Amino acid sequence: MKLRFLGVLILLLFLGRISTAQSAADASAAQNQGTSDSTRHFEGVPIITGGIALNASFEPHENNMNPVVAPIFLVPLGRRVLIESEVEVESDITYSHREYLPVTLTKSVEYAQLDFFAGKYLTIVAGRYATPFNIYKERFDARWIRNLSAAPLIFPLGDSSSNGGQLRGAIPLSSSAQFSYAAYFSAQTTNVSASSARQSGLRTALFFPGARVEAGFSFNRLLGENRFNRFGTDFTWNVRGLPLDIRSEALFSKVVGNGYWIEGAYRFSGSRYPRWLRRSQAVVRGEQYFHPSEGVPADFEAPEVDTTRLFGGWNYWITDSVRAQVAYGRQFATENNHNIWTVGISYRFVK
Amino acid sequence: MRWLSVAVILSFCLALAAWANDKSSKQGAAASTARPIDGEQVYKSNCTRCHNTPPTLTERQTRVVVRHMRVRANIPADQADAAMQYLSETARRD
Repeated sequence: MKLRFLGVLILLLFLGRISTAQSAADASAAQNQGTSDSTRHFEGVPIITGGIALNASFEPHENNMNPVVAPIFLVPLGRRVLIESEVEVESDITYSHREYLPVTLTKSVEYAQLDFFAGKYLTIVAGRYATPFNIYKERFDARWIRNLSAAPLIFPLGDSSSNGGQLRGAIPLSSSAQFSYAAYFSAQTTNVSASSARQSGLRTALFFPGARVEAGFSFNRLLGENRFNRFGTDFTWNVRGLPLDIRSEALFSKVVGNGYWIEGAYRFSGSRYPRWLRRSQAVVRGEQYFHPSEGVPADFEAPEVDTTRLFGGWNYWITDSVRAQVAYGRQFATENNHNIWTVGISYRFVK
Repeated sequence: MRWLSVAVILSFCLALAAWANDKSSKQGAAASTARPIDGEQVYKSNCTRCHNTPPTLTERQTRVVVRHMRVRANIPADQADAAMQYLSETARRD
């Protein structure tokens, strides 16, 4: 109890310090520059954005179709507060062994959070938020952003939303390096559309804007009935001078297993390519998952054996907001080597 | 023990933010003469490394989207402002 009190006290002291310093900095900047700043003069309007996608996958004895609607609601409140929420509605239509399985409809709240901009380098998040473990969940999970419609094998092992609080931000260390952090605590909730585990953790990263390289480290500890640690590392590189994106992640856990994926995406955007090709992107991904010897807890969706998967795909932007995808993959697992075909189309909107 | 570790992590983050904020406010006067942040570079370094160019929005929509991305992509406030200035130049008129 004393520790809890001490923690709250430290939090309040620092928040007071940061707010005071921020106000002074704002006033000083206003006096010196007379420039506009999003925090001082903020005029925003509520927005509905998000994506709609239809993906299909074809594997031996099983075909699958997934329509997904994921609207995002953004509501600014004054100078320092933003309320944001994403709801995902996904259906699963499966044709397996010559019969249709019951169609499922999953509704989930990905996040419904209040962001308080406490200072230049600190945002306090309260409510339900996407757990900042590795980078895929927060940055690449949206259907209109992901390079391949199939998520990496290790993604479900680190994917979650949390109900609680989070401190996050980024601090420039020099003109060429930036440190970012996100630390969180989540309470257990059993609501079917907004469940969360009791967990805490953090993600820190170094970002080099000039080179467009980011390397991150994540730690997560589950504090409920299952208590164990997960560690993650992520790396992204936007190669300058070449329209090539490299993304990768790794996950390490004694309980849910180890794995990694690495993906390269090349956009044919140079003027040397024919006009129709300039809207195309070629993608390759390699990934491996190593199953733990004692089996994975039932809450986690993971391959039952060590698995290797290779994907090659093609993305084509029909317009800036509509993208078609096709990919071929080959999965290698004990007595279960097979091909995977995926096709999909996604639409991004802002209203 | 559990609460102590949570308190230590949170305190570390807050201390870091407080230190950076303090440093930044002390450098406030110097900043007015320093080279301004290039909004186009911020946009290219932070936004297009994850997704392609978004549809043209109004200035007020742009402000909200940049604020959303400031949280999602961990962008410091002054850089988010610079990106917003850059995007405002190409924004649709309301």
